[in-house]
Parts: sequence; structure tokens; C-alpha cells
Amino acid sequence: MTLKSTSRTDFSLPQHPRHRSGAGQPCIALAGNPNAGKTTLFNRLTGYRARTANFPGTTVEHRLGGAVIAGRAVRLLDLPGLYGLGGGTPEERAASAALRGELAGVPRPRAVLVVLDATNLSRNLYLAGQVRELGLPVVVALNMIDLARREGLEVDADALAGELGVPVVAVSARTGEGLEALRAALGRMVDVGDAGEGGEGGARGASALPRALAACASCAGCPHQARFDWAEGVEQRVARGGRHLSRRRSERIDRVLTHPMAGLGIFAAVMAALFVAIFALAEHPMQWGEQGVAATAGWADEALPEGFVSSLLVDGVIGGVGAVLVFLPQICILFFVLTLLEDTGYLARAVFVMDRLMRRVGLPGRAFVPMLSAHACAIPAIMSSRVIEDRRDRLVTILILPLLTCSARLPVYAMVTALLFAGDPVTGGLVFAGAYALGVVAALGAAWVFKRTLLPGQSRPLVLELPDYRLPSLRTALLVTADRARLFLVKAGTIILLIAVALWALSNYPNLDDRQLDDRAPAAVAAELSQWRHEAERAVAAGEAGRAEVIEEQIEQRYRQLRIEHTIAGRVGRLAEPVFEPLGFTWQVNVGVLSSFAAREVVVSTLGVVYGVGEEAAEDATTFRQVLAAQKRPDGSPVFDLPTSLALLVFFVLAMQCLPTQVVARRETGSWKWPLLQLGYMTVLAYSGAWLTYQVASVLT
Amino acid sequence: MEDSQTHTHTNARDRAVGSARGEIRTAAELAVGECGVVCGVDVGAIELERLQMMGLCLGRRVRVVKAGDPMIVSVMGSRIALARALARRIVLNLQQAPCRSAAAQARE
Ligand SMILES: Nc1nc2c(ncn2[C@@H]2O[C@H](COP(=O)(O)OP(=O)(O)OP(=O)(O)O)[C@@H](O)[C@H]2O)c(=O)[nH]1
Ligand SMILES: [Mg+2]
Repeated sequence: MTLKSTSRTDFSLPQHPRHRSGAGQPCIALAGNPNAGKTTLFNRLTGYRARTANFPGTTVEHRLGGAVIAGRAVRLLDLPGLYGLGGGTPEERAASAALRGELAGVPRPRAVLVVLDATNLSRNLYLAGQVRELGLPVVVALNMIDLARREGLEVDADALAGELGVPVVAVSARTGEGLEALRAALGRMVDVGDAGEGGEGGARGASALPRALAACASCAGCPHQARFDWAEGVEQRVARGGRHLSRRRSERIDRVLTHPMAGLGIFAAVMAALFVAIFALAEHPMQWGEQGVAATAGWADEALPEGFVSSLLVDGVIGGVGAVLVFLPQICILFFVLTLLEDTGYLARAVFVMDRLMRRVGLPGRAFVPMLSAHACAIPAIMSSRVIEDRRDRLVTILILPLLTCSARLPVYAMVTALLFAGDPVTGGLVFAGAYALGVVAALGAAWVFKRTLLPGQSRPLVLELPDYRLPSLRTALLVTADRARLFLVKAGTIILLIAVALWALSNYPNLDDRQLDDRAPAAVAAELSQWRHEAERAVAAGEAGRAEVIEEQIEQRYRQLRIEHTIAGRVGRLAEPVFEPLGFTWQVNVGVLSSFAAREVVVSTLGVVYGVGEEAAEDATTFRQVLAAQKRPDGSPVFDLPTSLALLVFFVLAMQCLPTQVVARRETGSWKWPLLQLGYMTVLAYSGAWLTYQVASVLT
Repeated sequence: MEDSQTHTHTNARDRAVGSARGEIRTAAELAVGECGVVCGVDVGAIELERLQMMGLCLGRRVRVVKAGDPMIVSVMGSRIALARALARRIVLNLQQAPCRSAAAQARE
């Protein structure tokens, strides 16, 4: 974690806590500065069993996990990082409230585990001092001890325990060192808390208050000064040596990375490299995925008798869900690389270089934090916009967040780039990066407009800690990736499955037979069909069996198209034709676009269903993108040519197609006015953007 | 911005006054590597709370790591990126905090 409040926890979709069991178990809260290693330690102690949970009615996500400490089950509560208990942002207020046991839905902590960064003791001790005054039993984990040692910094844990009057255990959440001792200390603490049921523990804490702090109540001027003096004094007494190595290294690196020009250039290069890597690395796993889906469809098609069940399974379930599943590798790689990048400390520098840009459009630099997590998912991003104090700034940020590319758009981007630039990872990666850039530019532009019209006002100036650069943790990155993959699979197994089956039904019924279709076919098509039949007969008469077969297949294909056209989905898509025609969309694409208003990635599975990918994949093991690439318009030109594909891409970059996001925006802004405005302006933007793209690309090609 | 114009004037005047009075300057006026002890923070309540908790608080030693906007200062052992508008409001006393030379820091 390098950015306060892009907490890992923020990268997950909100979920209701599934098991609230263990309600009677004592709860230990983890408190500490941002980046002190709370989440890492939490994961260590809970054995990675924690699940992301969003407690209804609260602002921030807290993670609650079970652990066994000294033979008894306890619950651990991971909180967002805090600099002090009096913090001004809603997020910090919620974390302080949780510590005091005043946050609804979060159990009242029995004890607090204060996580200190041993390499930055004085600033961390400030919070520790405040937490002690809460009157709860406290254990201090002196974290990052491995790092301190490597840099020749010696911290005397016993001396620190003497200064603080609470147990102090030196640990390394990264290597696992000292965890047993920490567990033992926590176990004793919980027992003590048990005996006194909180009351006595509180008294103990209060009575052990250092004299300097007890006297502080009478301090004039800055009330924090005495506490900082105390913290610096303690550091001087218990720590020897320094971390000048990493500090100076970080400063040297920052000279380049925060440079107004070079920094921005490097930022752009890093982002571009990221997306080329995603595209290149995902190429093979995606192919395996596609082959797997095709093979499964083929197997199911053979094993099942022709008819309703076979069609439902092959076209609806395998075709629909499979089409989305093949994008899992890309989503995993994105999260893996982003987490590694975040872990190094680079992202705080990205905020730094972006701050100028952000302020030019009237947003505070802090808004970059939610904007960053919006690249994973807009929902946690909207929630994390609570780090912005100013209401107008917050509203504008919420309005523009869904323009940033979330992971649900990845399947769409991947589909389009795969259609256009298969086998050309560099161009594909650039188009990918371009789509991301378009989202960012559109978001900043929209913010600029809103800040000048609806919600005018100055933005708040930047204050941000720049942590030391660190080697990223592979383990953390894998953990986050696994978590995201799990959420994606759950979604594919529920919402996407449901929509795929519903769409399968809509695009298969009413199921007309050939005679009924003949009756309904327009004159031109009927004429064409009868001409083909003649040709086929002539070919048979001339003994050209091969040619006859080709023509028969052509006829068959035409009937299939007619059939889909007369289904409910087909009619709806047809109805929308005049609206989307200027963008180059066919009625099948319209069905995809309309269905994706519930959730974006559904368009991929919808196209899979309406173009009968499952069925065709089953027949000759062609894969998804080949089936799509082979689709023709009535005039014989390919459906997914450059202008249409790019228009589709632009539409999906800019459109507001996510019901859950709108619901969260309603909750966060307190009225439907804002989400409706969001839907309105984004739809207009998406339509005009796609129109422009189609027109320009048509002229150029 | 016309705003920055007036600020430049103020800064120039402050500097003149500062050198006459001794060593009182705002954080925005310090060159890279210069240090001072915070003797005043004149910002709104929300910013004040935030700055104080990060250590930008009366009596703390501040060193400028990078000038510009935003600038970077080092305080309480961590680096803080700071908008120049805020740095102009942080008043430092330079005499109380002679900067140790780079060599001395390295020896430490
Ligand atoms: N070397 C070392 N690195 C650590 C240790 N503990 C955590 N880290 C690293 O420190 C960084 C921050 O860790 P997190 O666990 O995300 O910190 P956090 O306190 O949860 O941060 P916030 O959620 O922002 O408050 C990550 O890069 C960790 O890998 C440790 O004991 N040693
Ligand atoms: Mg954390």
C-alpha cells in the first residue's frame, strides 16, 4: 500500500458479510499509520482467510477476519490507515469511530493492536499515543523490523515497551518473524480484557499514561506539539542508527519521477508498458481459454440430443458465460501488475505528477485516489471518494468516476482489440492504452465542465505522504489477484449466467420454422433464396456436389439469420436500428449494447449468443473471435470492420452501463438527481463520441 | 493567475523583512536542502488538522526536498508532498534549525 485510502480492500466489489458467525468472539482492531503494514499483518494473522466485506450504512470498507490466538478464536478488524484520531476526512472519522466502538455494524474492539513502522517511529508514535488514551488494552507490533535491521537501524523493543507501558513485539509482517511472540502477547491481552470485560482494561490503560501526555491537556497553541515532542523523545531513546540509505535513495529517485516533465513522461510510459504487457502476456492463456470453451461446447453438443436442453447449454450457458470467462487472464494480469506497481510506492508519485493536471480541471489532487481505484471498479471508487472533504469536489468526482476504465470493460476492449489486431500485440496494446486514455481525458474534461458550471469552487490543495520506495511483495500481489479472480468468477457464475440464459431465451423465441420464415421474408430475400435454390439444383444436376453443398450452407445461414431476426431480441435490436445505425451497429450489436446497460461485460456474452458462437464453435471448433470476425452484413461486408469496432469501443469507454454503480452513487450523494445526471450526460457523450469515431474512421478507410 | 502576481510581491517583501529580522520565512521560500522549525501554520481548520497530524505542526523541523508546485518537504522522518499554496502559509524559523551538512547526515 502506498496510497492512503486506496486500501486493498477498496479493490473489491462490496458484498454483504456472508458469515456473521463468531459474533461473541472478542474483536481486536488493527490501527496504524497508512503503510505501516496493517493489512499485511492482518493477512498473516488470519491466514489469508479474510473476505472483503462492506458493512451496510458505513462509509468505509473494513475487513473482518477470524484468527486463532493462544488457542481461542478471535476476530481481527483491519482499518484504513490513520495519522491521528482527530482526522478530518470521512474515512478517518469512520476508522476512529470504529476504534471507539461507535461505528454501526462493526463490533466494539476488545483490544487494539497498534502497528508501528519501525523505520519511521516518531510519526507513528503520535498515533500510538492517542490510541492509548482510548482506554483499551493495547499491544504494539513494531513492524518492518527486517527493513530496519537491513538499514542498520536498531530499535529496542523492551525500552519502547517501558516508555509506552504496553507490550511491544518486534515483527516483520513480510517475513513472518516474531509472529509467535505477537500471538502470545495478544492472547494475554484478550484474557486480561476478558477478566475485566473492558472496564478494568480501560482503567489499566489510563493509569499507565505517560506523564508528559497527561500534562498535555493544558498545552497552549498547537495541541499536538507536546505529543510530537514526546514521540521524538521516545524515538531518540529507543532507536539507534538511521534509515538514511533508503531515504536518500528515494529522494534521488524522486528527483526524476516527480520532475514536472520527465515525471509525466515516465508516468505515460509506465501506463503504456503496463497495457502492452497485459495484452502480450494474456495472449496465450486466452487462446487456451477459447479452445477450452470451444471444446466444451463441442463435447456438450455431441453428448446431448439435439433440442431444447442442448441449445440452452451450448448456446446459452457455454456460449454466453464462456465468452466472458476467457477474459479472466487479462483481468488477473491487470490486477497483478497494478498491485506490484502500487506496492513499490510509485503510485503516490503518479498522484504527485497528476496533481497539476487535476487542479487545472478544478479537482483536488486527492480526487486522483478514487480515480485510481475506479480503474478497477467504480463502486469502491465512489465510496473512497469520501477522502475528499469538499462536497462539490466530491460530487464532481463521483459524477466522472464511471468514465474511467473499470475491469468490466476489459472484456469489451479485449474483444475489440482481438477482432482488429489479433497477432499484433503492440498495436493492440496501444489501442488498449488509448481506450484507457480516452476514459481519463473524458473524465477530466467532464470535471472541468462541471466545475465551471454546476458545481463551481476552488479545489483543496494537495497534502500527501510519499513513502519510501520498496520492493513489492509477490505474495500480496498474488493474493489481490486471486481475490479479484474469485469475484469475477462469482459474477460470471451468477449475474452473467442469468443474463446469458435470459438472452438465450429472448434470442431463440419465438422459434419459427422455415415455412413461417418464408412467409415473413422480405421480397428481396425471398427472391435471393429461390435463386440460390435454383443454383443448388443446377449444381446437383451438373454433378458438382461440392458447389451444391456450399450453396446449401449459404441458404441455411440465411435462414438462421431470419430466425434470429424474428425473435424478441431480434425485434428489439431492429427497433433500435435507426438510433444506432449512424454508429455502424447492426441489430445484433444493438442487442448487445442494450443488454449491457445492466452490466458492461455482458455485451460479449450477448454477442456470443446472438451470433450463435456456441453452436458454431461446437460444429467446427472455431473460436469466439473467429466467429465474430467472420460475420457479414447483408451486403457482404464484414460487421466488425474498423469503423464499427472502434465506434463500439468508444461507446463502451464512455457509456454509463452499470446499474450497481448508479445505486451506489444514489446512496453516496443522497438523491437520484446525481446518478440520473450521470446516466444522461454519459449516454450523450458515448453516443456522440461513437458517432464521431465511426464517421472519421469511415472517411479514413 | 493574477493571484500569483500578488503572492510574488508578498514573498519578495517577506524575504526582505525576513532577512532584516533574522530568519523567518515561509516553506515556499526555502531552497532545496534548507531547514527550519515551524513557528506558524496559517490555514483553514480542515487543512490545519491534516498538516498537524502529518507533523507539520509547531516546533517540528522541516527540510525542503524539492521546490516547485507541488513541493516536497521532509518532516518527522517522512516526505510530504505539499501544494505551494499551503507551503506559503507555513512559517519557519531558520535560525533554530541549522541544517546539518549532507556529510553529517551521511555519517549519522
Ligand atoms: N520489508 C517489509 N515490508 C513490509 C512489512 N510489512 C508490510 N510491508 C510492506 O509495506 C507496504 C504496506 O503494507 P500494507 O499492509 O498494505 O500497509 P497498511 O498499513 O495496510 O496500509 P493502508 O491500508 O494504506 O493503511 C507493502 O508494500 C508491504 O508489502 C514488513 O514487515 N517488512
Ligand atoms: Mg491496509
